[in-house]
Amino acid sequence: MVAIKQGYATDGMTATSDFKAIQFYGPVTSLAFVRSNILLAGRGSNLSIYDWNLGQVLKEVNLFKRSKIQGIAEGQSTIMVWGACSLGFIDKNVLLEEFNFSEYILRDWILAGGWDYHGNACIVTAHNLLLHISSDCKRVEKISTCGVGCILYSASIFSNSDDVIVAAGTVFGSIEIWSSKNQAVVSSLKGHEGSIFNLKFSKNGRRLVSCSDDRSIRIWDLCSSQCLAVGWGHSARIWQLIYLGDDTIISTGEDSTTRVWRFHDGMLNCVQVWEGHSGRSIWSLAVAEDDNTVSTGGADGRIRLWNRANKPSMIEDRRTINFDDVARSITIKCGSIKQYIAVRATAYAFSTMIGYLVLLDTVENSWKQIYYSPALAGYSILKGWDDKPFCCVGDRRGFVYIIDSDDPSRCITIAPLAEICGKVTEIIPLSKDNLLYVLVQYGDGETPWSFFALQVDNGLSLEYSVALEAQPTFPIASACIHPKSDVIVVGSRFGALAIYSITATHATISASGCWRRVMSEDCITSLTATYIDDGNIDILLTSRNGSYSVCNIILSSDTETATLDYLHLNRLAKGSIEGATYLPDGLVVWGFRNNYFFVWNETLQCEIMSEICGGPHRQWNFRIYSPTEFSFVYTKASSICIVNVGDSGDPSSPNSILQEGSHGREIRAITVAPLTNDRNALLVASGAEDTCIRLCNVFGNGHLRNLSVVRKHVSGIQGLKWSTNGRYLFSSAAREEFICWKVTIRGKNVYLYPICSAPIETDLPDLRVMDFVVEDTIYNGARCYFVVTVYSDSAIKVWLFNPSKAEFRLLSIGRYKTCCIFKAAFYSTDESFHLLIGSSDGHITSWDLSKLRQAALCSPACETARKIKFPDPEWSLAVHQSGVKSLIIVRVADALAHESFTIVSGGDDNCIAVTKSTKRESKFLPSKEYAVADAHASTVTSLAQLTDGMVLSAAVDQHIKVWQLLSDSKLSLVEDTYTTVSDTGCVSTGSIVDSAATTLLIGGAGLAIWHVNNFWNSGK
Amino acid sequence: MGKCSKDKRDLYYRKAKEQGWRARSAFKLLQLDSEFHLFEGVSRVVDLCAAPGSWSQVLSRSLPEGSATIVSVDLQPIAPLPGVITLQADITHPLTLTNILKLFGGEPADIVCSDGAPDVTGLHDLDEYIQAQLLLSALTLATNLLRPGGKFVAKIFRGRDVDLLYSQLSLLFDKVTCAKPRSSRASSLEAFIVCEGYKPRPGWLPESLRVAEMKLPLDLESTITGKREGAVAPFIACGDLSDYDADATYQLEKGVQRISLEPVQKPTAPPYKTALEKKRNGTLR
Repeated sequence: MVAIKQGYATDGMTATSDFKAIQFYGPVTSLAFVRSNILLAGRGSNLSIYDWNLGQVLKEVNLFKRSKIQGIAEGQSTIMVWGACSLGFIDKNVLLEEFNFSEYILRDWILAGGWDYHGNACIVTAHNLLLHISSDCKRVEKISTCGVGCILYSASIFSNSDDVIVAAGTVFGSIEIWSSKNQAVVSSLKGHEGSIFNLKFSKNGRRLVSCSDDRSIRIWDLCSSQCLAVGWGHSARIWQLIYLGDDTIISTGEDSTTRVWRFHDGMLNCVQVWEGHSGRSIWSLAVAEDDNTVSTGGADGRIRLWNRANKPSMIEDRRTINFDDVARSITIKCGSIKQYIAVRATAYAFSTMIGYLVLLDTVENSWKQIYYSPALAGYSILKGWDDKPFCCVGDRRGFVYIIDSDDPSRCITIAPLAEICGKVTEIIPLSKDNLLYVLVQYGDGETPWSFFALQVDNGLSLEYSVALEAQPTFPIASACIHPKSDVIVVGSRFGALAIYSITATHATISASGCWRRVMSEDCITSLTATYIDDGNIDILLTSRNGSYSVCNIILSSDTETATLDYLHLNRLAKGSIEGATYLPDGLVVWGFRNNYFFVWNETLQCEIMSEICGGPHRQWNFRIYSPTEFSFVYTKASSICIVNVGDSGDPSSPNSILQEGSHGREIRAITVAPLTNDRNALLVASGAEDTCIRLCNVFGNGHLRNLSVVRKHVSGIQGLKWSTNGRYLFSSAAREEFICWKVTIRGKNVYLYPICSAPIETDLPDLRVMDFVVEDTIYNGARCYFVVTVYSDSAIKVWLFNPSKAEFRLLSIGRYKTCCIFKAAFYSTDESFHLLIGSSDGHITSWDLSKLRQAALCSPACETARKIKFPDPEWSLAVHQSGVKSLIIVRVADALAHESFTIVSGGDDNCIAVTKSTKRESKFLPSKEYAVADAHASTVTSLAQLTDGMVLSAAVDQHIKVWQLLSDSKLSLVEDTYTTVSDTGCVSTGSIVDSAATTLLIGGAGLAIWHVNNFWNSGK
Repeated sequence: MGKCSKDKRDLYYRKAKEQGWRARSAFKLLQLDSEFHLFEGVSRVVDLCAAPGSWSQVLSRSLPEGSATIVSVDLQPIAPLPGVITLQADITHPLTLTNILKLFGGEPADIVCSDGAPDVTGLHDLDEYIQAQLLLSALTLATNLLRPGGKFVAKIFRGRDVDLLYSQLSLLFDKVTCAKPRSSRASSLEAFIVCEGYKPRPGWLPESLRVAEMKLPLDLESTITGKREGAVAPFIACGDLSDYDADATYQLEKGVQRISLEPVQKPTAPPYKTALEKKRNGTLR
């Protein structure tokens, strides 16, 4: 028997030698700026210390055993921290060194803390008590009350030389202002409805700002007790407020926005809105000494920095050019402006109605003519390259002109290949190495498209030209070129894709492949090629419908045909996508939403810039010069607005992500993949209430690298599992959603493509696919997956998933009773195959599916057979008093194991039970072996097997326990630790290559990463 | 209990409307009663945090007419119910106790129940704490109202500190059970604490529990090894297994037309009513 070890394993602290919490990504419950460069953050029970100027973590330290750090207040030489009933003090001088810390536990919840006029700490508790702490921070000197003892949701203190004033936010909507000296209420502020969630004094203590359940912000004059103004704007509850000296207020809340308000002329107006957290709720808010840098911490675990002065590290150079001014500036009469492009960060080329091409240098603010042709009068089309300062113009006769804007004498005119072609309707400039390419489409839709290659050396010369067979109803919208060979891929305005290999010597080259409606029938707005090998490329496509995808195209060796395969498909939560590119820190996409233009880093899930431009129906041009330099030009109200964004070289990085996080809602499923894209990390999929599936890497040090966030489900994720070979990921949710995702690993990238969804048969939005089991198998010589899904209406469905056909074929439907099925598992011997379920009536039930599976996999006739009869259960046993919330089949090192299976289950009744299914004369029968009735103090939500005979349990009581399954099927508790993850719901384990420790992931309201040393193996 | 998309999804929600209950929580009390026979020989009942009044409805329908005095207390107004005396009052206010005792003619209560819950914020620790405080307020009142041997039933959140609550309650009652009615979703942290056999402690004062709360330690260093004394209450699932299941999805019988039912009792004005109005007419920006 192993001795029971009890401990607290919160991040950074070793609970026992075998359990070590490494990292926590969850609600950031407090933030405070200290000194000029330090930001402190309460992340669970741990304090993270950042140098926000450098964007670095300096230190992470565990402070409290169980409580989350909910407040930090900086004093003269001491920092006070608190959370729940815990309180502690840190000497500022040793903040960055090893320091001793004592956790004091009061019996009341601490709502607010601060320092009085004399430099002593004060705290206010939920029962409206004010505690004066001695100057050595070791004793409570005095407790003040005001006689109103009702429960508070918020409090704040203000101190002058002879008194401490408390503002107490009650649950009934009133705010009580009371004096510590008189121990009496000074005034009662009435106006809010519902609980007061936060309140703050102004710096001089004359005013107060408050927010409540009614979603309004109120400013109060404390002399008259009058409400001066009410601010509306948040679409959900408001949690945090800051009152700055200049009557500026900052607020954050449940709608995940941060708002800046100005109180002016008796009005409280919202002047800025920042959106940069995912999911629900921003819990913490702080402002630096400069009153300019703001930090927010969300339920998503992210810490962000914002700059109130709108002076981010990115320098924004913006100017507006009025058309009339242009006309005046140009000395020659050039006519009115038709189109424009950016040629350099500081130069723009404009085509005019009467055939001129003029260049604006924004540094010298000078205009010059760079080209003129009467052929361009009346009709012309102007395009440019992202990385080259050339302009490309097409005319009404089909001619194309290429001009170097740096040296206009370097230019070339290219005649159309066909005699009759109509006007140039589209030009797509491409480039590679030292070559420029131009793809041209003409007004007459049947004319072959032209493809010109130009050599750029001292001059500009045509290398070759070829005609490409035009595809019918194919207005060209985008194109890209294979990085190593002359293969181009063209996208149309109607969602079609065509590929051409230019290696052939035919007069007119035919397409090797053409596919319609590739993502949808919406415009393919951009194409980006990634090299795999010759004749094999990955293409990144963006669509005006707001989706983007990655496809793989393989050309046949004779280049006559090509195949297209989807690797990835995802939809942005915002607007249309007009373009995309890979930058060093991730995939960047841009487009329009409502009336603004946005640039979004999809990998980091954060906005890089946005500009209210009035929407997409206007001329605009976006160019990226380098990972930190880009420009957006657009026309608005007969003016041209230029927004240049560039790296200022300032090392501080406001508007940035200081700390990366995870889901913004409770994680409901987490699973380590059997494969990885990085030897040094686990590949992990997680699903949450936010309906998203996230892929990330978890490194040995517990650090997280987000890979992608896919949005396909419309309800919270219930289940997530990989196939044994890691080639597919399955996910389930409400509305009968059950999706199979194809997994592709390309270097460090991992792609997910929703290859198929199970058909939806009812219109019940609440019909949840609670769990499922997948078995890799062989059908007709091909790899197939035998799948069982279980539902909240007691239905059990058996499917065969055939990847080559991308379909779920329904084999059989069974029904348990009328209750909800929570969990499912398979167990099998050489001869038989069984399904096990745990349901809300506390029963565990087993079916022998051998015949059904046999019929499905072996008989060719079943292709046509409609459905196979679902058998009656072989046994059903009442194991728990209420729902079976977790269930696993445990491997037991036992010779009899083939004939006997050990089932460990956890219930809503706090119980963990051991049940066996044993073969007795050709039939499996159940036996109740053992039960720990009070295994946990609340619902046992998850179980996992660590090694043979060792079972880990997680419950809503936030305890993680390890049980040894003894040979007599009894469970013996060997480890009991506490996790900072509340609403603890799911666990998964895995091992990084060459690592001795097992990594344990715990999901719930946040994600915790632990290391488990497999001491049980070493025979300790 | 308004009209919303939930109308389609929860069977108990729909049944509550069909049977004229003001909230689906009525079924929770009915199922608790079927397990614990809460209403046997009961003549004086107090329902705390009673709005909108579904538990009071259950009480008035379950207890024979005229056999019992039912007092329902809430800060919010409760629409009148036959056989129920409603009291708009704060349960933490000392006068409330006096007023209830007056209604009972100075006699103690047989059972005190509370289905109250706070505004849930999403910060689980805080929500559980506030719920525990609400429960302690109800318990303070209950200990001053109950006869020896009386019962106390209240909602709890089964979170991380639930074991502390169990140990506190077991000092005051012979038997403490954590019960989960089938009509309460397994996915919710909600459960009910059923305390039977009240044993008054000598020298108990109305403020006793609160005073215990207020006795904050003055020497902070003495609190460093704050030992937790937790206990686990036995768990009982209640309601028959053949009862409807709150987690399950039920198909409507074929041929039955889905009718949207009007709520039995329109919701009282929520605090964010103005914000919703502003959102609707587009002035929230």
